[in-house]
Amino acid sequence: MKPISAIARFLKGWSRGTMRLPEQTGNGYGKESLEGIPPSLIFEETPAPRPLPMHDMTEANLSSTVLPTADENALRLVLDTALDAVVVMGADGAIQEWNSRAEETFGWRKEEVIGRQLAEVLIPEAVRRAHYDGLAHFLAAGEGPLLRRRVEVTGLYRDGKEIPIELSIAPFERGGERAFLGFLRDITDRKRTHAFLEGQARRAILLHQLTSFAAQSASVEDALRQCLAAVCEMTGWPVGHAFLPTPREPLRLVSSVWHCQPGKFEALRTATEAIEFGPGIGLPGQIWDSKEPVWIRDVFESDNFPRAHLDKPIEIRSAFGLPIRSGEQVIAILEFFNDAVTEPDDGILLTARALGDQVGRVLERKHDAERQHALLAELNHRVKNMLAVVVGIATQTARNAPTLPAFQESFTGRLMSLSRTYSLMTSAQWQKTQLKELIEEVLSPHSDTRRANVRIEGPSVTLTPKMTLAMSMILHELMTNAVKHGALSVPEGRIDMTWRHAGNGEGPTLELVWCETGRGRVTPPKKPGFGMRLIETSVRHELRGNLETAYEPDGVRHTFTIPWQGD
Amino acid sequence: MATILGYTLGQTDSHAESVERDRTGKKRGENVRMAKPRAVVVEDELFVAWHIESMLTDADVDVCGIASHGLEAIEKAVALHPEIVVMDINLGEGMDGIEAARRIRELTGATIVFVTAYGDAKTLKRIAEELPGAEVLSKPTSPAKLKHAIERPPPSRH
Repeated sequence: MKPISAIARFLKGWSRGTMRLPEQTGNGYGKESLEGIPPSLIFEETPAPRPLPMHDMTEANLSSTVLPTADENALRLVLDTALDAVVVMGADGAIQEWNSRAEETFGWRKEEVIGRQLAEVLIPEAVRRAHYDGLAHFLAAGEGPLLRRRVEVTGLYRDGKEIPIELSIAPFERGGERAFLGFLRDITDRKRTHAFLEGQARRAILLHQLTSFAAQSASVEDALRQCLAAVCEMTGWPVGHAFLPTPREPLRLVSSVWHCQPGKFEALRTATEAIEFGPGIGLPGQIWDSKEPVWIRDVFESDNFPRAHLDKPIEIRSAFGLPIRSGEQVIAILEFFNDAVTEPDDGILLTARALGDQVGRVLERKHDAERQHALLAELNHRVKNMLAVVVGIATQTARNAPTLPAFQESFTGRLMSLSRTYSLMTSAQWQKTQLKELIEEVLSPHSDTRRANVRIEGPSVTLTPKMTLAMSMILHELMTNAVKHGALSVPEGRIDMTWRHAGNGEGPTLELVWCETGRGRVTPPKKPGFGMRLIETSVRHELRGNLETAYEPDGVRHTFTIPWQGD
Repeated sequence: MATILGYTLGQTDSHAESVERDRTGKKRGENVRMAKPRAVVVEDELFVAWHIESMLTDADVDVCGIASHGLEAIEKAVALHPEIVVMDINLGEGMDGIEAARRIRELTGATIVFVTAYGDAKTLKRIAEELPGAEVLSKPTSPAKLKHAIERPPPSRH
């Protein structure tokens, strides 16, 4: 050791060899970090309470080399009653006093340590040299920045385990020799609590920022990208990836956006593209099923991480993933990868779950807005289409009506029929409607007497909205004609409407027969009227089917054959 | 004098008369009309299709075919070679009107006029990209608007 030259090295600390005092900032927290220790873990340093049992406790003495002298009785009182570990070290570095709290804190009994070098008992080997240098400096110069302050250092428990310690040291004279009175407090719990709170605060800020980012995102993909970047930043993990479920069955989880350095982790990306993920398959499938975050410590040891077992080895070891939920529905799955084996971190999983819920709510609002926009656009399309149909009905009815009253009657009848069909389709939420319900709707404006003469019979047949509109118009025209000129124009006339599932060479069909009887012989018209032309053309044009009309001795029979894909 | 795709409507065309005389070697009359432009209407709603047909007929256009879906539209356009195709966009199952119109323009060079309820920005952008110059009319359209659209000269194609 070189005592004089060591002055420059001063009491640099008792921590990890490179400890330095944090630069004070406005809020009292250190701006710079101790090497390996986050800035947040550096506590404000405050002057220690002045040593109680000393004589001559003047400011002048505290700041000079004139040291207070120990009153042994008072010193004993402090050792016996202090709530902290209290240790007295001589100028030679040997332990002179060691109270019962010190025994509890460090695991050494008093008789085991008295006379031993304090550095060997309490100070990690890596910083012992700094301790001796600092001691030498104080003995030579009479001052040291760690004295009479609270500092945080790392101490050694008996078993060699390092523990965080809050330390204050006061030099004094004892029996004419310089000595040091140290108060030491195990701050493991405080550190843990602080780290926990600090982590909570950081995650709360992350969640807040993420929610804001997600809300401002132009699309769901942008929101997911923000989310991936934020979690990667929080965890320090290099890769983030999002899956989106397919909107329709069969359910598949489709790769969406990635967050990683360009050109890196190509094998992982290729493997992800190569596998078709569904429920239960791999990490995303497992998350889909459980709707909970999942952590895989080592993907190569997992029995459900197929990407680790492809030809080209992937560059990752640990993975965790979480669902983004909207209510009970999983709307996306995020997964993150680390290139080192990483133990599960409850804090990260807790934050990930909260994050998934937050982003899920944002995405839900975004989805709602998009759905609302799409709904309004669809409404606009339907209204325009319907108006075009109404204009078409009006103009075509007018062109074929002999008189204004005839136009009014025909136009109103067609319009009301269209209106009832729209109501029927709306009640079916514009999904498929039952043929039987449609027929009942067409019959509804007619009197009970007339309806009693109509028989309808057939199996369950559902119609698409387009088929419903076309069939409604056809049935309306047939019914109008039957009332005016056909079977229902006489009391004894009847209509039998029957249908069945059939088929022809081109596929399954619906065969519907409209049979009018009781009217007597009907002769085919020389030129079909507008109503009949409408029916014939509509079957071909709108339903891509055909119509056969047979004029029989007791009436007329229309047989419609319409392509029908089933319910 | 109104013209539809270069065809003169309802008026004597002296040039047409002279062409007729040169081709036949005979003068067939003082007033010789050019043939009417012909159109195919592609619309799956029958009443709307008939209404468009009526408006075209009133505008002195010969509606030579009506189709209700994309494939039928292409078949009729190829078979009938109309100068004009009035096209709906949403044609139910199968290809939509934009795709059908694109193929028809490629195969026949017909002028495309869309009459559709889908006038949103995305649809218009797609039409501009796939069928530059095609007219788009919003449903329900009027005779005047339809007539104006088919009277526009066809977009130059290179």
